[in-house]
Amino acid sequence: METPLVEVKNLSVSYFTYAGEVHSVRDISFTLSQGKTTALVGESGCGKTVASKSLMGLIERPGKIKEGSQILYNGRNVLEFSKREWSAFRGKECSMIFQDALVSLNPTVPVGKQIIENLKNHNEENLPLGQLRRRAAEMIDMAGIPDAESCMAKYPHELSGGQRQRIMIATAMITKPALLIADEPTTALDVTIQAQILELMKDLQKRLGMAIVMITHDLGVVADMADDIIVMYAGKIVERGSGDDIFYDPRHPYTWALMNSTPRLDWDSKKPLAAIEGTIPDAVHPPAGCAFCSRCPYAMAVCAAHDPPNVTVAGGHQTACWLTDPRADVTGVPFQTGGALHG
Amino acid sequence: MLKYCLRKFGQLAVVMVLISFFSFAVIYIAPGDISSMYLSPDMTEEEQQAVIEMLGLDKSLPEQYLGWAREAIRGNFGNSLASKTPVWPLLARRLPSTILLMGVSLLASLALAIPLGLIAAYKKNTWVDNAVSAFAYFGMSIPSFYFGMLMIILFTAKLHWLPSSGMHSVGVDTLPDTLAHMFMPVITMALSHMASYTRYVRANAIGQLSEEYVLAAKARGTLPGKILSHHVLKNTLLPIITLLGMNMASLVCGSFIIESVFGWPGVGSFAMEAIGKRDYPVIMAYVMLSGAILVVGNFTADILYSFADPRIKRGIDEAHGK
Repeated sequence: METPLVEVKNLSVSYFTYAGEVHSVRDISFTLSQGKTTALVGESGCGKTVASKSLMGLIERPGKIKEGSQILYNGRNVLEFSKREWSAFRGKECSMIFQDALVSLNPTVPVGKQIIENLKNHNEENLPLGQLRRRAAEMIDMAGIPDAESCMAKYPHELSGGQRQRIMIATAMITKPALLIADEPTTALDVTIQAQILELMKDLQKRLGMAIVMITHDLGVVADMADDIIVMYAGKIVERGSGDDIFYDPRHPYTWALMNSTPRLDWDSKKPLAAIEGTIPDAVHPPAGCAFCSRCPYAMAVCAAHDPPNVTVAGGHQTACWLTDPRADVTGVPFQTGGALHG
Repeated sequence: MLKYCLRKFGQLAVVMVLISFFSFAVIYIAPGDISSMYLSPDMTEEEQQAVIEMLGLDKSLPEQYLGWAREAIRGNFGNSLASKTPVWPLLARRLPSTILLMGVSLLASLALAIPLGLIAAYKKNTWVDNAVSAFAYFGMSIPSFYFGMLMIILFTAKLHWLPSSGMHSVGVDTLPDTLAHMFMPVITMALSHMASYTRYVRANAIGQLSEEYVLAAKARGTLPGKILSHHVLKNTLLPIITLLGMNMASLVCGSFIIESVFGWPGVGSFAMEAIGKRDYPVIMAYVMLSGAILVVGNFTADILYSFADPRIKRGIDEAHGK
C-alpha cells in the first residue's frame, strides 16, 4: 500500500472561551491519499472546518490543538513546524479555498496582485516579476476567466461571484500544491456556477494531480467529487469509507439519516422529507457515550454510557456505532449494521 | 468624479459665504467699538465723526459686510488695525514657519502612529499592546502646554541643550539651528496627534485582522509583517484620512497653544495676538483662511478615500456620474 500524503492521528482541538472549553474536534484520525478527493461531511459546527484548518496551522487563539495530536505530512509532523517552515508549507504544499470569495479577497488590492502574492511567497528560484505575472495570467486562463491580463488589474468587487471563486481557485492552485483544502467552495454560488466550479476543480486536479479535501454539507457535491467520505458528528468521525460505501451502504444511523434527509429526484414529491430530530449536543460538555445517541431512534443503554469503538466493516469502511456489536438488538433498523449480521 | 468635484467646489463657496457672514456678524455684535482704535480723546466731535464715516462704521451690518466681501473676493483683507499695514502680507509671511512646524509634526506623528497602531493590533492584549496603549493614553491626557513647559524645564533650564523659544537664534539662519528650535514644539505637537492616531489605527486594524482575507493571506504563506503592510494597512487608512482632512486646517493655521508656549513666529501666535488686540481685519482673514482650509481638507479627504478604497470611487461615480 502506498504511503498516504497526510496521516492525522488523534487530533483534538479545543476552543477556550468564557463558557468553558469547547471540544470542537475530539480525537479523530484519518488519512488522505495522494491525488484523491476526500469529502468531510457533517452539519454546521461538527468540527469539519476546524479539522481542516488544523492541517494548515490556522487554528488561532482561543483555539488550541491539544497535546498528543499528530498530523503527518509526507511523514513529517506539521504541528512541530517552526514559523518559517509553516510559511513555506502554507500556500506551497497545501492551499485553501474559502467559502465566500468576496470576503476572502482583499477588497483594496487588485486580484492579480493577490494571485502573484502566493507565487512571490514561494519564489525559491527568484523569478523576475514579469515571469510571475505571466504565470498568474496563465493560471487565470486555466481557471476559465477570459482576458486574463485585464482581469488581473480588477478589484474583487468588479468581478462576479463565480469569477471571484475562480480567482480564489487560481490563487490556491498557482503553486501546484500537493493538497488542496476546499471549505464549502460552492456554498455561496448558484447551482449552475457551482457545477462549473466543481468541474474546474476536477479538471485542475486531473492536470496537477493534487489531493483535495472537500468540506461540505451538500451531498450532491460529495457524490459528484468524492473518492472517499468522512462523516463527522459533534467533533468525531462516525463513519468513513469510499463514496459507494457511504451512499449505498451506510452503517451509522447518522449517515443513514443524512442520506435520507436529502431530496432526490426519483422520490415521490408528496412524501415529506425526513429530518433529523433534535439538535447537536453541547460541545462544552460532550456526552460520555455516543454523541448522536440523544437523536438516534435506535439508541440503546450502552450508547449513552460508553463511546462506541471504531469498527472496520469491510476494507476501508469504518464506523463507530454500538449497533455493529453482535449483541445489539437490530430489529427495526432499516439499514445493515454489523459486518456479518444480515449477510 | 469630475462632476463630484465641481459640486463640492460649489458647496465650498456656499460654506465660505456663511462662515464669513457669521463671523462678521459676531464681530459686529461684540461689545466695544472698532473706531476706538482710531480715535483719540483730543479729537473734536466732527473729527471723530469723520473717522467713523471714513471707516464705514456708521453703515448697517449688511452694508459693512458687502463692503468687506467685495474687497475680500479680490484678495484684499484690509489693513491691520495694530500695524496699519495690509493683513494678507502679514499672514503670508508667517505661513512658511507654521507649515514647516505643523507639517513636520504631522509627518512625525503619522510615521510613529501607523506602525505602533498596527503592531498593537497584531499583538492585541499582550504586553506590547498594553505598553502602546499606555503611551497613547499618556499622550492624549497630558495637556500640550504643560508637556511643553516640562520639556522646556528639562531641555533648556536643566540640561541647556535646546533653545526654548523662537525659530532662529539672533543673527543665525542655519538648518541645524532651526532644527534645534523645532525639536521641542514638534515633539509636543506630535505626541498629542500621535496618541489619537495610534488608537484609531489600532482599533481599525483589529477589525481588519479578523477579516477572512487576512486568514486567506496567511493560508498563502504570507508572513505577518507583510499581512500588516500589504493587506491591513490600506484598509485601515480611511479613518486616518478623515483625521488628516480635519487637521489640514491646523497645518496652515498653526496652534495657538504650541506656538505661544514656544514663541514660534507662526500664524497661530499671530492670530492669538490679534485677538488680544481686537485686530478685527486680521481675525476675519484668519477665520476665512482656517475655514477655507478646513473645507478643502475635508474635500481632499473625500477624494483620497477613493484611492484607498476603490469601492468608494465606484460609489461616487455611480451616484454623480463620471
